[in-house]
Amino acid sequence: MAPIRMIILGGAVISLLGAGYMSFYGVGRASTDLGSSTQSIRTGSSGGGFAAFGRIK
Amino acid sequence: MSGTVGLSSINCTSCGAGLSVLGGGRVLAQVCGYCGAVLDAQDNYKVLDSIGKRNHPASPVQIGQTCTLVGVQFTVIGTLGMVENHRGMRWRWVEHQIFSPTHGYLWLNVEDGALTFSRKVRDFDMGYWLTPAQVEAAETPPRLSHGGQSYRYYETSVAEIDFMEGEFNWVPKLGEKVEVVSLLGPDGMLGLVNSANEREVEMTRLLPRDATATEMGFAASALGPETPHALTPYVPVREEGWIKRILAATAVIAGVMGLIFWSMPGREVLLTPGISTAEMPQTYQFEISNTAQLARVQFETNFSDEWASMAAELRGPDGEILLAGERTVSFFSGREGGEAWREGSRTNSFRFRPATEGAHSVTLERLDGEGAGGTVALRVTEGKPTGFWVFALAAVAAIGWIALMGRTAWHQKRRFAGSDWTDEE
Repeated sequence: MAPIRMIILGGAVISLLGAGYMSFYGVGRASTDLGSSTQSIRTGSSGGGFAAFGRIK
Repeated sequence: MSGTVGLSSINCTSCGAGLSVLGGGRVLAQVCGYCGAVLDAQDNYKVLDSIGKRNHPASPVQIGQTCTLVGVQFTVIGTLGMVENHRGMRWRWVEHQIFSPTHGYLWLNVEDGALTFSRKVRDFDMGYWLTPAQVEAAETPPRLSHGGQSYRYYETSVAEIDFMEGEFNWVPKLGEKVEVVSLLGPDGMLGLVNSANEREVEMTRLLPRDATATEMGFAASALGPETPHALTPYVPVREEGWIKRILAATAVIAGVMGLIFWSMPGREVLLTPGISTAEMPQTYQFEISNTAQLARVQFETNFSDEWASMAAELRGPDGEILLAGERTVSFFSGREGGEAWREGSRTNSFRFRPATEGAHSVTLERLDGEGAGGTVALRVTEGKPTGFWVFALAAVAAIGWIALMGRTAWHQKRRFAGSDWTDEE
C-alpha cells in the first residue's frame, strides 16, 4: 500500500478511536450550566422559585 | 519541431503561385491560397472551381507546421473556415486537415481558444446511428456506448464551409453543409457526421493548449483567451478515490458507533416513584461507582398541559453540595383545525461527571410552573456514553465525501453547460 494511503487510512482510524474514546467517556459533554451550590443555581435561574429551593438545606 | 516541411511544390495552374505539396497520394484537391482556384490533384492540377480571394479565418495554425499527436508527427496541409448560423447567432471555428505518411489524415481544430483533434472512428456500429429527429423525439438525452465508455448527447450542429485553402483528401465546396450530432464522453466527443456524400463517425479529443502551441511555433495567446472546454478533463485531488472510500467508511462506522453509544442506557443507580408537587422537596440516596464516565440525572413526568421548572441538588459522600441543576419540563397537546398537535417533552435531564465513588444524595424540588396534577420521578444513571463526538466525526467525514462528490458533479455539470439539450416540462 502506498505511504500516502497508509497516512490517510491511519488518520481515519485515529479519528475513529479518538472520537470513540471521547464519546465513551463523555469528554467535554457534562452539562455546563450546573451550579456548585444552590447559590449558583440562583444566579443562572430563569427566575421564580429559588427562594423556595433554598428551603431544602 | 516547428517549421515548414516542403516535400515538393507546384505552381498554381490558375495564377502561377508556388504551392507546397505536403499531403501524400490521397489528396484529391488543392485550393490555391492566393487566387482561390480549386485544383484537381489527381489530374495535373486542372482547375475545377474557384472560391475567389477570401479573408483567412482567425487561426495561428499555418499550412506546413507540424505537431505531434499520440506520438505521431503530422503536417498541416489544409485549412477550412467553418461557420454555423442558428437563430440569428453565428459561430466560427477553423478545421485544419493534417497528414502523416503512416497514419493518414486527421483534423486539427481551433475553436474558442482551444485546440482539439478529430479522427475517424472505424469500429462504430452504424446500427446505433443517431439522427437529429431521434434526438428531438427523445425524452432524455440520448446515450451511446463506444469502446467501453458512455457518451451522452451534447449538441446538434449544421455547419458549412466558408473558407478553404491547401490540400484535402476530398474535393470540398464552398457552402458545403455538414450535420453533426455530438455526444460527450469522459475524455472525448463522439461526432456522428452526416454530409452530402457520406456518413462517418469522428472522435474529437482536447490537446494541451500551451504545449501544442509551443510545439507548433506560436504563442498560446494567439489562440485567444482560454475558456473552459467541454473536453477539459477532470483533475482529481491526489488519491481522490481512496479518500472518498475512506471518508464514506469513516462516516458509516462513526454513525454506527454514535447510534450504539447514544442508545446505551448506562447503569441505573436510582429510580424514584413519581411524586406530586405537594410532596416536594424530597431527598433520595444512591451509590456512585463509576467516576470515569458521565452520570445523568433525568426528570421524568406524566405532565399534560403543564410546565414546571425542576431542580436537583446533589450531595457527595461527605454531605457537601456537589452541584445543582435546573431543568424545565413542559408538555402541551391539543387539536386545532382537525389536526392533533403536541409541544414539548415530558422529560429533561442534565449530565455531570462524578468526582468520587460512594453514597450520594439528591434532593428534588419544583421551583416554578403552571398546571397541576402531574407527578415527577427522578432517574439517575452512571456510565452513560454520549454519541456526540462520533456523530460529529460522521458529519465531518460525510461533508468531506459530499464535497468530493460535489466537485465531480460540478465538473460534469460545467462540461455540459454548452449543451443544447433542454428538458421540456
